[in-house]
Amino acid sequence: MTSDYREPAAEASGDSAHAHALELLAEHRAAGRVEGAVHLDLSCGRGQVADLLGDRFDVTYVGVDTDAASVAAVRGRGHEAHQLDLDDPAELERIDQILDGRSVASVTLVHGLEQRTDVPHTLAYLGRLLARERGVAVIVVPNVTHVDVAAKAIFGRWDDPDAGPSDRRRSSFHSAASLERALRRCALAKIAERNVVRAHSDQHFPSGHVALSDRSTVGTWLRGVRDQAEPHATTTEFVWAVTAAGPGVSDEPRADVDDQDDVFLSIIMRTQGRRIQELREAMLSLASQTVTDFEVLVVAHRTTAAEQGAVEEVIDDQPAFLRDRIRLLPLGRGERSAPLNLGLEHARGRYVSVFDDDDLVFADWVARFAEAEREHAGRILRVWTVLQDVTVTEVNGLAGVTATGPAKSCYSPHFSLFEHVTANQSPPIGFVFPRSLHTDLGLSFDESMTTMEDYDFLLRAAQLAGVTTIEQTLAVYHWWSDRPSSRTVHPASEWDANLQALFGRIDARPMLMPAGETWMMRDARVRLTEAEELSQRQQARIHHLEEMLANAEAEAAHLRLQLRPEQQRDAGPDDDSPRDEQSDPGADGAPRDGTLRRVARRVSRWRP
Amino acid sequence: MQEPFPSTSRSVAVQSVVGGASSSRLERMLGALDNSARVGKVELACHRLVVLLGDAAPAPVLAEDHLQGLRDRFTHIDEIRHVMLDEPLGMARGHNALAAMGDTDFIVTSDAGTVPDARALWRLLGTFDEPTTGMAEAKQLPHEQSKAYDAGTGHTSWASSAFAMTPRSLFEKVGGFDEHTFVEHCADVDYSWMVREAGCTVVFQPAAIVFNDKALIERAGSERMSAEQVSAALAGLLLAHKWSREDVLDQLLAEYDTSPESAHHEAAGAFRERRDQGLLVPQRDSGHEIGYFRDGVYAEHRYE
Repeated sequence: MTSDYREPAAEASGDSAHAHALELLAEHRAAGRVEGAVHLDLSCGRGQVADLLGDRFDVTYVGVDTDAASVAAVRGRGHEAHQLDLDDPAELERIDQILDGRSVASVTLVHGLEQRTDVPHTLAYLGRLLARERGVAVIVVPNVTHVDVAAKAIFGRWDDPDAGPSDRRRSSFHSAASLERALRRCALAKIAERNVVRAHSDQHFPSGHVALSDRSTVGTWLRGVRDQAEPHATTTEFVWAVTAAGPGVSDEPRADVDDQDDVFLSIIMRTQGRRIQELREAMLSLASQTVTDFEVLVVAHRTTAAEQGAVEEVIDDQPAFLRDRIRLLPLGRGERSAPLNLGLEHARGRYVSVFDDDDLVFADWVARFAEAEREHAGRILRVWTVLQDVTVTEVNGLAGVTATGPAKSCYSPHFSLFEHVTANQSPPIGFVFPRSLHTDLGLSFDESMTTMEDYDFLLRAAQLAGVTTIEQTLAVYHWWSDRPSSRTVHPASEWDANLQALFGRIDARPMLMPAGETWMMRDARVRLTEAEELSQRQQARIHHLEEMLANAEAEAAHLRLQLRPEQQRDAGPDDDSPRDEQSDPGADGAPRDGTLRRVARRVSRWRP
Repeated sequence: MQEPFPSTSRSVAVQSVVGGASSSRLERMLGALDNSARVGKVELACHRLVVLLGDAAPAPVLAEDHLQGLRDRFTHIDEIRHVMLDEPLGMARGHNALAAMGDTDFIVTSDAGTVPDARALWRLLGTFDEPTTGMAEAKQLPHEQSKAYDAGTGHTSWASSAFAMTPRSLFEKVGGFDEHTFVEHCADVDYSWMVREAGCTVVFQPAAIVFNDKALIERAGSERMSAEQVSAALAGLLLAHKWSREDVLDQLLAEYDTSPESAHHEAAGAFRERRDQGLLVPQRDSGHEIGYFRDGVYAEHRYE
């Protein structure tokens, strides 16, 4: 089987995998190699590397491949090449005989790895070789997770072209993560990468496929979600420079082990070490949990030495079972999102909670979430949260937290994404989310946001995971009326700017609405229509009344004009000046004359 | 800030009347007290911590081998005593009985299953550096009581026995809880007022925190709930009588007589029966300087 990967169009261009590989070699190969050193081209195919290499690095090219015809072709162009079965571990050891004492300056493995039936052994050999020779290798491996492949596979389409990421000749398939893991297990480490990136890969067909379209809703949504999950959505080939990571290369690499998730809940507690009594209360509520299947990641964010010392004292004060579950992570940079992202990186739980140092939870908080996970794994789990105003008072020289008002149920009992798009109804202490949203779908807290980072995260997370509400009050969100909090530290203009940025982001991409939300949208739309119709009817009524009023005023004015001669006549011949009947009433307050009284009654009875 | 711990190391007994609390809740409570003892002894606030569990359940909540396992685990507690009470004595008699078994400088009454912060006991103890302090109460989480207290001294009308500390000498001087009058309800209010009548203060220390999630207390049957309603209503009448508030007593009796609740009728009947039989305790605080009665509560409140 040859490895003559036929790269379309760009093979010899500066943007081809081979060209990238040569650039990496130039940057990372050690200078001052001994004379006669070798560049070893494992799985050399028909010698493309040999042609590109030329005499650039003053090394002797040695190609190796399984396919005899390819080896003959390389030899035919004047290069050294050898045929051996690269899938046979014993055959791999023959390379040392081929080298015959010559040192190896560099190695390439271009589109060879994915064709090996025993990738671990190939990499293990490479690891030993690089460790011994202190050399560098460049590997080129197709990315099976290019969005074009995935978008078609989701809808049941799998194309087997002769070339490209889904090359049917491959024996193994790699993502960036799986490749990195395979390297790590063979004591190899990536030191640089120059991947080939194509928005449209050679799998971008048929051209009319809606999921492949950059303009269709589903295509845009898929690409948005995929881009968020991992940075290689449009990488067609990984081009990586690797070296030996250290001793311990094994011929029997360990079996794949996924990330540890044997803990139910990772609680990320961010603190600045300035609310120590509040932190003590928060810890006490965790020490009192009826289910202890959790860990606590206390992120001491931008604390001074004294503040961190105070945090450490609170941790030291905890019962042994809780102390054993706490990890303290100091962090000296970033805004409110940074400690959450640090916590996410260190979390091991299947679910994650954001727990501020002034939050409180009830004793069954973990227990109810853990119960709900059994039926609703993969969904965000939410409980009812109450809001309570608090302040700090000192008694006997010690600061204590004191409620200044009753606990209030002011958040919507049931979660609606539609409602949340307008206003947040879920304080972070009231929900936990699957860690998979971070590890598998790439969600993290937006570090450009100085406030509302939890709201922004929830909106993105809820549409992917959905939300299950547990109908029980299990958390207390404290509201500080007279001391600094995020609400007071950040000015209103900053909150508004963050909110507008958040809305801008969610408005810019398709949103996946959970089942049941369309009913709410329809209901809201119906009610809005009814309100608009009512408003229109009221407007028409107002308009009608205004017209009647204008008519009445015109009629009144007309009547006043008509009355003026009579008024003058009624005033008698001795009275020269015209009278105003309104300013010259009789004893009973009414105009004196009978005619005037009649007219006045007519005007006063008039109702529009 | 330097922790204002008590100036002198003392011995403390934490006592609980175990009703329906599960063994897991008691275990969590003991673990927290063990941790308290660890911190208190390191910081020289305390040299001896004893836990007394008065078990009023039909069968022991903690079996002997389980208890021994807990003693082996919680080694910072000097003594864990589990005492079977002959009958459900109620909070007042139960605590009096447990107090009689101890010899420590201070007594702490605690609801079964309450989880204290490591420093709660020692912060309460610190309030007794002020010689006039007679009783100190911790703040309960997650449901904080809304009783008003003086920001600075912490002085308040009364302290809940859910987690409160008092000197043994004072407890004995005032005769402990008035078990002849009160079974459960109002016994702590009454004790607080007797402490104040003796010239001492009752202090609420919000920095001393305990977790007492009452939602977790196992729900009693409807029959017991009804009995508790009668007991609570009767306690209100007895408290008003004892603390010389005839006006409150008359008002309550009138309300109970016309109430649709049968528990209220029963309570009014029981009170009159006691009164007719001459079983009411002598009245005190005739000048109304100690007792506080308004709208069914016994202290000013910070909010409704």
